[in-house]
Amino acid sequence: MKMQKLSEDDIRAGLDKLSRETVVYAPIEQEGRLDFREMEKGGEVELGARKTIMSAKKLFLPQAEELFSFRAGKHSVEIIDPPKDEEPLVLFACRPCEMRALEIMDKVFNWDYADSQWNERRARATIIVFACLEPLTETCFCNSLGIDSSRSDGADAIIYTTAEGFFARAHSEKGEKALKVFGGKDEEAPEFTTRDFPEKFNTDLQEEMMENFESPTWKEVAPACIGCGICTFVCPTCHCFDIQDEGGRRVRLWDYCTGADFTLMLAHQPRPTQYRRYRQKVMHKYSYYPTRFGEILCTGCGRCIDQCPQNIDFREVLKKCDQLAPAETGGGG
Amino acid sequence: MEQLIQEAKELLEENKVDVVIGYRSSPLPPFTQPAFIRRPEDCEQLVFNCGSVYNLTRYLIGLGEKAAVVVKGCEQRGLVVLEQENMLPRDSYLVIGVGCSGQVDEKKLMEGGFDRLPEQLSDELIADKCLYCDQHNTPDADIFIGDEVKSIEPQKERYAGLDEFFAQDYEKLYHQWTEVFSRCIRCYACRNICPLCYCEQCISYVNMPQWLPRSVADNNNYLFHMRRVLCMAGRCIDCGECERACPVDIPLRTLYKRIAQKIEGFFYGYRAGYNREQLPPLQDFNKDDSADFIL
Repeated sequence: MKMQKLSEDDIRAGLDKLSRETVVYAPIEQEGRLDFREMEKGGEVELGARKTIMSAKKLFLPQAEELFSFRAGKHSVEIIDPPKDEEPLVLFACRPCEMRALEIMDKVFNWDYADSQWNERRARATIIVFACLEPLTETCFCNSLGIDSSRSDGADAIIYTTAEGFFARAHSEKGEKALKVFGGKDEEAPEFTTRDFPEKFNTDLQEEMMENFESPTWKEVAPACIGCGICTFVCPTCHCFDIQDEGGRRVRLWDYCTGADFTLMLAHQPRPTQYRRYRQKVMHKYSYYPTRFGEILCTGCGRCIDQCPQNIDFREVLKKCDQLAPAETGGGG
Repeated sequence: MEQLIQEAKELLEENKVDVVIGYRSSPLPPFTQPAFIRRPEDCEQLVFNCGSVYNLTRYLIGLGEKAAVVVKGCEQRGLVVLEQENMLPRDSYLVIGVGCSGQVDEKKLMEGGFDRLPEQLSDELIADKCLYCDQHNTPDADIFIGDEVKSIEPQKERYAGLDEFFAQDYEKLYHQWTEVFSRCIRCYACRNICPLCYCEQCISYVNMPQWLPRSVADNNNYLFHMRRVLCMAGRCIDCGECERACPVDIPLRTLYKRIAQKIEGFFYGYRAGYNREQLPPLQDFNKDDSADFIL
């Protein structure tokens, strides 16, 4: 089929133009660290097959977000809406795993109430995904989650990298508008299929985990976990948050279930030991969320594996969880 | 390695410990991961090499069972401080000591695209802290594996560069550190990986009031990191785990070494963890302590 063929120069010139009209976030390296940064702040956009440290999630769910502010009056409290940010933004070159993560999280952010701040950002953003025809790193396992990274139907546009240049295609009006800025010409594109992805392993674990909630094997699943927030914060699908008041503002802050103070109450610590906290992480993603929303809360991007300071491999964790059921019952494995 | 496996096996078979905490191989850099071995037959997994970076002593606090833990020379200093602070009695665990001639810098290993540990650890790959190591062989080990490492000439001085760095203009330093701390995502990996950060309720958890605001905005990160420096004063043993764990490369050791250097200056050359009999200065009082800030 015909697609918009672009050279690297077309892309860079197009990005330059776009970033003058609107806010553009793209993977930009700084001191050896690749992350989504505002183009306006400088730095060359990475167009190669490299994974960012943090996912694009932070553009839709910031680490700290004001919900409202308040002022005490004489006999009342005045609630003030947060400043509205209506600037459209372009998210350039995120990967199919991150795009899929946003669609998965749309469900919880429109579940018991419609999270206006999330929804507004989703509506304002034009998302241009770079397809992954090969895994970016040996830690990628999106195919085990049923994701075909040669496509990203929820994105506004998709770009494929080939030796001969880039092929782009819009999926929406917003995508078309953005891609027009890049120029290029229509050309017949090759078939794009994924290759060299690792062997799939079983991720359909929701019932097995639920039925074996008390299994002592949970203690063996990740004993090395130190309970920091790294895996949670780099993850494109983790979204749990804490709400606090800071200096007259009510803010929503990233929280992490691996931490000892997660949902810690005055009356009670619901998860006193680390293995219970780790169990919560795994089951929220692979049991509770799929049970409630029909989607696994993980897109196999592998960032948790890349960044864990204790080298915990979440794929190994899932494989251990596939053996939770005691051998006698013949379950699991 | 054989000796390590054998000793660990015996400890488990003879029920001397419930768990052996050591290192096992991993296909991902730094090609090891922490191992919690409970069955004698699993001891086969145990390794020790230049990729055995993790300070495993941090797992001892609150473990609730008898453990034998593989401890490198630098890490043993943390056990001394924990004993001095009455947090970990010496007889509650067994130390499996080793001779260590240096560990890899994980980040440099990954940048170099290595798919396995090098046979010889070059100066380009070695962790910075190892360049001035003065404790290659674990002191006070219950079991010592292999031969002791012969003394290696340190390649730099522990506090090298700190005086010059901190002599810079105050405003400049403040802006520099503000820039550095703006990268911090408040994952608390530096705190959680540290064997000396054992407070059940860390001050950063306290929210009535929230002494250390949690949002990364408004330079709150600066406050958190300065607070952590105070926690480390006179206690940090420079095992370097905090800096290794940091996902955004904050140069934490620069801060903690600076405060250690100051403590050493104020308090008769004190260095944390080297001498069990020498009480930490913030736990002790000496008539000769300088009081020129109040008198």
